[in-house]
Amino acid sequence: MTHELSPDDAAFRDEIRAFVAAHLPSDIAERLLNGGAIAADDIRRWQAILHQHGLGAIHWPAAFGGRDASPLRQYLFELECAMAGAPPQLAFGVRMLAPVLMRFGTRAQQAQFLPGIVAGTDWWCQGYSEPGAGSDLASLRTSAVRDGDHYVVNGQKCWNTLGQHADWMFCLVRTDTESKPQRGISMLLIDMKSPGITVRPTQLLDGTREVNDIFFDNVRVPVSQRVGEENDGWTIAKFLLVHERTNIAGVPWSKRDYARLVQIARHATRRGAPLLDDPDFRHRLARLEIDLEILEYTNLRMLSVAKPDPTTPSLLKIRGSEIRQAISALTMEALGAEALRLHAPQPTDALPESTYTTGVTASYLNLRKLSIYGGSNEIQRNIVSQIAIGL
Amino acid sequence: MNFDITDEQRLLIDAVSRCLAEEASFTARQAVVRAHGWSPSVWSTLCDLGVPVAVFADTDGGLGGGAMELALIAQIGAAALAVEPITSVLIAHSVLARSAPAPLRQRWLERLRDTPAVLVPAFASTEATVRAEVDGAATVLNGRAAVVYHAPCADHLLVAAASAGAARADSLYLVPVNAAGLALQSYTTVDAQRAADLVLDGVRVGADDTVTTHDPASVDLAIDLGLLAVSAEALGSAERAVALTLEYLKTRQQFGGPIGRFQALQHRAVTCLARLEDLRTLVLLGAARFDGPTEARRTTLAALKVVAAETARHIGEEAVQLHGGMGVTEEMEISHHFRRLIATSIRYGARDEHLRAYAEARFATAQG
Repeated sequence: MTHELSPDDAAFRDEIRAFVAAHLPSDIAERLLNGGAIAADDIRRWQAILHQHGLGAIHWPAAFGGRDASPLRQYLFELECAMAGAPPQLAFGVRMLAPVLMRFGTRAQQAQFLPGIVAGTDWWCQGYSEPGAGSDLASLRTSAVRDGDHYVVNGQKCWNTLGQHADWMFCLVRTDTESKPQRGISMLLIDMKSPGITVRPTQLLDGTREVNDIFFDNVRVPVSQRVGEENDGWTIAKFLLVHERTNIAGVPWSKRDYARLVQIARHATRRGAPLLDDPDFRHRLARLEIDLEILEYTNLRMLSVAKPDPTTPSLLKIRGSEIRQAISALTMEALGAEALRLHAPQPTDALPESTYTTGVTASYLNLRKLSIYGGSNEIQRNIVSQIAIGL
Repeated sequence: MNFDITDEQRLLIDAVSRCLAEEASFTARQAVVRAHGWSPSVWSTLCDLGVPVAVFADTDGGLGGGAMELALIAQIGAAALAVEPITSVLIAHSVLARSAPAPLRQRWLERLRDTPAVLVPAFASTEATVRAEVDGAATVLNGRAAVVYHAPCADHLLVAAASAGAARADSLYLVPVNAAGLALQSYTTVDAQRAADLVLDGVRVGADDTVTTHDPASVDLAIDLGLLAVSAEALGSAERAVALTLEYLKTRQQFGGPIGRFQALQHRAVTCLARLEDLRTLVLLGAARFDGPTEARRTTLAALKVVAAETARHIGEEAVQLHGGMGVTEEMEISHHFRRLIATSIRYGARDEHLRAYAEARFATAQG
């Protein structure tokens, strides 16, 4: 057993670290490391840079232009990017849809869509949840009715992330209302410029526009843009979830947030004394650091075995979301009243430190989503229980 | 990066598990606890398997194991609720392997070849409860040591003492249990193990039996070996407690079906599984970092005991609760694991003590 990286993996990490140091635009890094918001254009710019240097989708097979990176290397890549202040890659394309197209898509679909995904020129979004189908996704009702070479789609999707920027959506629709819920679902690739699509933002509690309601009114989608067989969409959706697991614990983002928490805690004072001299605070920080280190190594254990225990991804999702939320809560508390500025003013000579208060509370509010989306933590507990107890 | 154990480690722990399953089943263990407190015959079989020398170097006639072997054996011993001095001996032997002068180490190994001699540590902290004074060529030990696990099973004790003027224990000595001036008051602990309180009144130790003096780092190392071993015990016992609990949820019938179909109970069981996974990771990390840089070893071991103590308490209490009334009966194995878990949560220092040490090592400021 060794908890150290192999020389090859260490060399890979060093290569990525040097690449990011040389190529990540400094305006993006500075803003993100100081808690500033991620703009859609940051994600596009960074993906284009990665793509130019053959790093647009390192986990893809070489046949599709990737580097066959192991799950461990994919993690190391994400960690290096996150710690340096890079925006995340848009998961919907490179991590979620791409593996589905490689496994279930036609050659024509692969040729049409994969290049735009890796280059970052096509922005993809996901059409899964509906007002009546959240945790119970299989009860979705957005319908697709065959009409010659097209499907005619009607219905509503919600909690659609960043669809306001999207060129394309992969969407689960009901193509059979007779059989049991899981059987009658298909996956369609829908051009967001199609007539009949309305995107309506959902205002969130942190003031951001991150999710949308999407309405489909007789939207015509060519049958050639169906992925896999008709009514096989549930199988494909489950395959996609399995492939989303590499980053399920969110370790890179928690490590970045934690580094910022420590930085804030080292600056903060209470009644003239450093906050770190307060034993209660110090112990809470210590306990959180221990949890984060455990999360990191539990995640590495999962990534370094060929076939992880089937309960591990769900347990990591639960712990990963709890820990990142706890980091954001302690960061807010470390700032005290400073945290109440929802959108901090620009730094001035009089208030040079105000940059580090940017977005702390907004982030705390925003991150409530972690234990809700992607299968809520209660759903994850049901999944683990189903495997461990089986009742 | 590879978190698998080696084939040699697998063979060793399989042999130990088999021995404990065959000779120290829960029923057999209960009879032993009632009769003698521990089983010299189980110990003798474990000696035949090489368990006590697992942590000595091959060149010394040991199995060449280290911190990982210590943790693995402690873990399966606790899973079987073993009352034999497995963990105590392995801690003491690990100290000898790492800190004792070669002649002392070889003399002890020779003794082991002839008899199943038992050496256990008589300390679980660096507190200066025993003082060492030089008297000519000998050293004289005076003081007390409380709750020394397996002292009643032992032939020799590894005593930690503070040298003249030292504020903490900084020296280690080998003391036979029949030494003049040494008194043992023996009893059974809450987790059914044999233990004793010691009084040392002018116990004389020769240079031959001096492991190390004026050497706080070796005492710290000995404590860290104890932290790793007792945390691995918490893991082994907690794993077994969770397995028993999941089985109980599947089989206990109420309201016309197994109680495991109730979501309130399912989610509590899943929280136990999550905490178990946390502890598993940290035991592996503690063993993996043991022989690396001292600072990383010390903080990782402190973190490990924090998590082991919390997890032992949490899983012990949850396992009892999910067993309902049966959880508090002497008859059920779960109540014995509960007691073992509570003991491991406290031994070598409880949670807060180690969290404080961790926090100070990581975050102490200039002022603080």
